[in-house]
Amino acid sequence: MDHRVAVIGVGLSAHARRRRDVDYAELALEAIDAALADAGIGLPDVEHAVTASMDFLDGRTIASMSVAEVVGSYCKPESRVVGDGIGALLYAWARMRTGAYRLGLVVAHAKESQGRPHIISRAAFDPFTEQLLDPDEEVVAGFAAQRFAIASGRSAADAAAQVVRARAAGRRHPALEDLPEVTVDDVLSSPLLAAPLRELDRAPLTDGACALVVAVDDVVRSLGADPVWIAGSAVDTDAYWLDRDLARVDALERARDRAVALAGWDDPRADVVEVGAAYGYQVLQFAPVLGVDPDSPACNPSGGRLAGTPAVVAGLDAVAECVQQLRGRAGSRQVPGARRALAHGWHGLGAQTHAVAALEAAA
Amino acid sequence: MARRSAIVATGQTDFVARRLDVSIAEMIREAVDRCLAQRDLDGSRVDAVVIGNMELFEGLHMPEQLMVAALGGGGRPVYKLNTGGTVGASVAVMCDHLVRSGLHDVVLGIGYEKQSEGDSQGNITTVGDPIWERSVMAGAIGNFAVMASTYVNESGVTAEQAAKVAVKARRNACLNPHAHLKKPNITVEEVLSSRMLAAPVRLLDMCPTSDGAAAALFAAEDLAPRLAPRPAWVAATATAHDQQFMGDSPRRLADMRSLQAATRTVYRAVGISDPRRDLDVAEIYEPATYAELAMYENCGFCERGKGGTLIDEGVTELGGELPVNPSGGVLSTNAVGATALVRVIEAALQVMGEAGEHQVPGARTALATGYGGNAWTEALILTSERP
Repeated sequence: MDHRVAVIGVGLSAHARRRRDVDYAELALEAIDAALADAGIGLPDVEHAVTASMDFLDGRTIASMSVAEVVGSYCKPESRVVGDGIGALLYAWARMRTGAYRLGLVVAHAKESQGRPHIISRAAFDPFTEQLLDPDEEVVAGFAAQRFAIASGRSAADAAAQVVRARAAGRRHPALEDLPEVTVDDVLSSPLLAAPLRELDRAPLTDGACALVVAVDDVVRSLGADPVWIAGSAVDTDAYWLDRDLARVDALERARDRAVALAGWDDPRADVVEVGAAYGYQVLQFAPVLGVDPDSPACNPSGGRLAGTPAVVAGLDAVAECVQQLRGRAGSRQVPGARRALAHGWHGLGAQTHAVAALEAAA
Repeated sequence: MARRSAIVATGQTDFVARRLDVSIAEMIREAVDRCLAQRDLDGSRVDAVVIGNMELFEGLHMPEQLMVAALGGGGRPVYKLNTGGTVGASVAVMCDHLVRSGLHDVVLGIGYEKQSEGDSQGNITTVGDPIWERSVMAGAIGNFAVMASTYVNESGVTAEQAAKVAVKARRNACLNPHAHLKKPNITVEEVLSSRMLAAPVRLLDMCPTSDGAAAALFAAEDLAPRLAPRPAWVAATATAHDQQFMGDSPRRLADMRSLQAATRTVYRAVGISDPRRDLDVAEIYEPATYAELAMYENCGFCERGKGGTLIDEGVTELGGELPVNPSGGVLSTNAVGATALVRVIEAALQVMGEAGEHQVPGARTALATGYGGNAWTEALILTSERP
């Protein structure tokens, strides 16, 4: 009854601290052109699109309108998810499992350089109580880091080591702008951001876009494409940050369990895991839940957000990395013999919503 | 063939200009409670939530995260959409896809807007390209004035014919307990003498700005008949976009190519060859009177240029051959993020036979549309028979 759906093309725009040279559409087009070329199809072949973006990041309403032309939605269906890009992939997958569409495009874009992060994230807090305290997302991350440190016994130096590690990995990724090399001491002595977090603990603000071409099984065959199968995917949302223990990641556990169950995997562990982590401590907090040692080569071969990928786009970047790993096309980042992968993304204050995609190499 | 989904329960707040008595979260919860109470269900039956609104309208970023408790609590998937005026219909379409895909059995769709807490028209202006369009944009009214001018010029539709749409909408609204603008004694003359907003659109030609929320519960085909006496089956859905830049297509608002494309797709899917004959009722997203007349033509209810004739002959009145917006429509109630979901809910109530005083007797097949940012459309066909 259900169709199997595969990713058959991936494309990343050049990611950088500031892409002054392109607008949103041009940024997305870089990723889309690369993904279409990878899949060996043209834009007219695309039957539907699902995009991910955030109005508050873009400073406009209906932010998907900026990319409507480049995703080819004239007289065609496009829908738009607000949040991490894996949510858009999940929706495209749901639409295609039923056979409603056979060939689709999933696109996420963000230009973090164009907004003021403090003002943007403050707007996510309760306007009558919390906003008076002038909070932002980093403050909640600080609380979460503190709770996690107490609950896990992991030190600030352990978290800083993940920043160092991610930046080194990112240098092997051609789409990512190289970040200055740092040491654990550099991270620990950088200015205080939100105790205990330091400025270098945080993923750098980044501009970028990612596109995936997705196709149902018979289209994969007829195109002779190089597929990676979407075996399972799930989203889950926790209580608001004030209403839960920030040392716990129940939503991630539920999203993982559901994605793995849909995939029919007996063992949730994968050969490659791309963990969504905007702070060093988040690698330590999330990676074990996703069944991977944070220090193993299987964890974040791309470097992930700490290597310079933007919010919203990060989840699709994670999927793109997993796809290239499972195709054996990850170049100097290749994890040998990878057959299964998990991609992860999150959004919301204190990582309230988590999304997971379970991916399988072609047989 | 994938399994079907059906709407089994719906809930709406009573829409007004300002809900000063509730927060946004409380307003949403009111709609959710009414939806679940319709079938005496509790929230534990809900597997996932899909919610839509325009975040910038109230200035709340990621509102579904802050208000997750009002949506039915954390611990389940919450999907957030934002597609402009269409978003309520986008929510319905996503609920349908999620159920049909087998990913979830029971999905709650929610749309809301509390326009009194923000500046919707200021934010709508940001849909324009910042360099080429924003300086000449003025929210939705200017957009529909351009459409109406083109349409009047080509079709010969008169201000009186447009005014009749306003009269129909506000009188129908009197039969709908949830509607916002109710004017039992409204006349064509009153519409024609109301304040000019942007020629030829007058105050009473335009939809209001409302506060309110709406919720609809979608269930898989094996569950639906057990949850509702007569579920509203989702027979077909479609989405289509238009050009992004007004200058690329000066006639796009009059032509409504996305509305033509989306309605033809759903008609084809369910075997409708003559929509005026085959549909029993339509709930269409008509933000302005002139738009409703143009939509008659572009939905295929009449020949091109005959939209005015349709209202003159009373075809679309409650009691006419094809009642359009017996609920009072967008012209009577418009909480943007909820508006297109209200179209779907009102279409569902009609085929469920639960629309109360504005029920179209014996309605079995209904069209619902959403219309949003830069002239794009979602269309759904709901039926009382399992497709």
